[in-house]
Parts: sequence; C-alpha cells; structure tokens
Amino acid sequence: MYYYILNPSAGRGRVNSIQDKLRDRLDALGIGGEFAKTTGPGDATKMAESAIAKGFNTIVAVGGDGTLNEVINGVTRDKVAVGVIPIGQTNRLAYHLGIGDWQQACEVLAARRLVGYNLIAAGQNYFLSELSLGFETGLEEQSNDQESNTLRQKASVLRSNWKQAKDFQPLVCRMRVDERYELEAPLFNLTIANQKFENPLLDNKLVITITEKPSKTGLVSYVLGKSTGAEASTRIKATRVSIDVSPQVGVMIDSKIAGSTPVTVKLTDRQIRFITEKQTNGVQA
Amino acid sequence: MAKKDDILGVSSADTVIGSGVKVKGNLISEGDVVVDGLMSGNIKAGGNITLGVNAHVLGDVIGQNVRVAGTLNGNISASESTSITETGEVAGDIATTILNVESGALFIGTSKMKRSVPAEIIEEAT
Repeated sequence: MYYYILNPSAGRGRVNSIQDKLRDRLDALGIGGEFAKTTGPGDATKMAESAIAKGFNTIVAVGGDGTLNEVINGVTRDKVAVGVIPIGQTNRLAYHLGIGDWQQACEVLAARRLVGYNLIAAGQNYFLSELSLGFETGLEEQSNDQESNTLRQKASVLRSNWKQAKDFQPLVCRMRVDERYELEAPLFNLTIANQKFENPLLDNKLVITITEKPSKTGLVSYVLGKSTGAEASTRIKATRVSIDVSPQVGVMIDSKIAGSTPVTVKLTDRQIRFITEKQTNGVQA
Repeated sequence: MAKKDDILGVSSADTVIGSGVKVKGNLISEGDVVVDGLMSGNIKAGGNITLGVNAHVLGDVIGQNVRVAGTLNGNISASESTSITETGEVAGDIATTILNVESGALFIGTSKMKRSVPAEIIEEAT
C-alpha cells in the first residue's frame, strides 16, 4: 500500500502543476495510493509515522531533499520501503538513488528495486545522504535571506558570495574518529556521506572529506557554481566522528540547515529500504 | 593538485591525510593510505602506505608496499616492498621483501629482508 506525502511548496510549488498527471501515471502503473499534502516544516515526519501506524508499507516523498529527509525521520519500522518523486529545488538524494525526474521516478517505484541503507545520526536527526559544514553552510544561511529572482538580485547575490569567499578565513576543525585518533585540520568545507550511497556495492561506512580553501581561480569557479572549488585534501572512513569547529558554524543535513557544531555523527544500525534505480544485489519486493 | 595526486595516488586511496592536518592516535585502514601531514601514532593498512614529502610521522608503519618521501621516526613492516625516495628520511628498522633506497634518501636503522622463494623451488622441494 502506497502513501504519497506531497510538499506543495517544494520546487516553488511545482507539484501543483503536475499532480493530476502524476496521479494518472501512478494509477496506470498500478501503484496509485493515498495522497496527503504537508502544511509546514515537520509535517512529513508526522505523516510518515501516522501512515505506518495505519499499515502502509511504502511511503513516497513527493518533493525535494528536505521532504525526503523528514520522511526518513518518520520511518520507524524496517519493513517499510521509502521512495521519492523529485520535484524540489535540490534533489541530491534522488540523484544518488539514480532518479532524474518525476516521470522516471514513477517507473522506478513500479519496478520496486530495493536497497537497504544504514541511516546516519547527527545528534537527534537521522539522514541518508550528506552532512556538510563550513563555507557552504554560511552561504546557505545567507541565501535563505536573499531574494534572487531578477537579474539584478542574482548579480547582487553573486557579488556577495564572491566577497565572502575571498575574505573567508579557514576554520579550525577538531575531530575524534572512532575513539581511535584525533585530527586537527584547517577547514573550508567538510562533508560526511555514507559510501554505500555513492556505490551500493560498498559497505555502509561514513566517508569524511575536508577541503581547504581553493586558489583564486578555484574560488571563482566555486562561486559561479561550476565546480566544487577544490579537491579534498583529507579523506577518512569511520563509523563515528565527533566534530568541533572554531568558530562555531551551522550544520547542513540533506541540503537543509539543521543545528550547529559541535556535533557527533555516527552510522547507526537503523536500516531503511529505499526504492532505487541503481543496479545492486538488492532484493525485489 | 592533479600532478600531486598522480605521485601520491590520492584519488585511489582509502584514507588521505592532507598536508595541513595533524593526527594523534592510530590510523587503521583496509585499503591504501596516504599521509602528507603530521602524525603521532601508528599506521596499519591492508594496502599500500605513502608518506608524502610534507609528512612527519612518529610511529610504526605496517602495510603491503610502503613508500616514504617525507620523514618517519619509527619502524616499517612491509609485506612486499619499501621505498625511501630522495626526499625521504627514515629513522627506524625496516622489515620487508624488497628494499629500494634512492640516492639522497636518509636511512638510519637496520633492515631485515625476507627472501622470496621462486615457485619452481618450492615445487621441487615438495
């Protein structure tokens, strides 16, 4: 039984223009179900919990990374499968699951290829894909306050981002890794992801990458969004890391600001089965 | 950066410690390890270990093939080969099958080399 949780504000309201076509396509594929719309932050978590209590065994997030992350935090039973129809502004999670657009997502849901991923805990939040902190979180916090609809607004945002990037003083990051060693590094950006999410054939493991501040040329590409700015200077694998950064910075989880440092991030035993496009040794169900 | 990657094998390594980074404690990895920072502790890898030109390591190193282009104060145990490059300095003992010390390298310690026996000889013996 499929339960679809729609975020009407995802992708600047895109779901409203496609929802009839979406429902028709799902019905045609034999995976129509119950639909519910969120009304604010945190709704998707409560709706997922309630749907599971009612007996639904497949919860589908119709939205972006934020919506899917809320659904993940509401799925408490491992027999439940989770899917996504990406229509948000950022759809990195769907991209990593091999899903490009809503039409493909429908086909993927119907094929029902499942892969189990262990969730990552950061404080009280669970996430699947990526935690990041550093320069990017500063930019994200600022961009939420800045409008960028007109060309003039976009140019103003770019100018502001460039100034921030140029003046950025590297942070100092201290980490305790798997209770085995401590690490101190200058930090421009730090990301933590599950390596299995990049490649389903690998084991669940945290991959922590730290990048230093790029050169001027690299910064230009970075601010223009044409590259990640620099190659990782440090990359380690672990199951648990405790991170402290000075000065304190915000922490972004699955593309959404969710707290600040210090933070402890660990791979949990809690596994969720995702409906994915990727070829794996996963089980059809 | 790309050239540095080619030399150190950064892109393929499981664990990479960059040049501005300090580590205290024991590093254990199933794959290859590249260290180009400061480290106080042992390194144990299932694969190859490379200490870059900027590396200063105080501790023992255990791996398959070990390459030292920086500074190591500690012992090396390499199941296959050990190389100390022209910029490398090792103060410690080395146990390995193949040892390569380049001109300009510094090695203060003793080496114990395991002789590899050709397959034909093992067959004849059995």
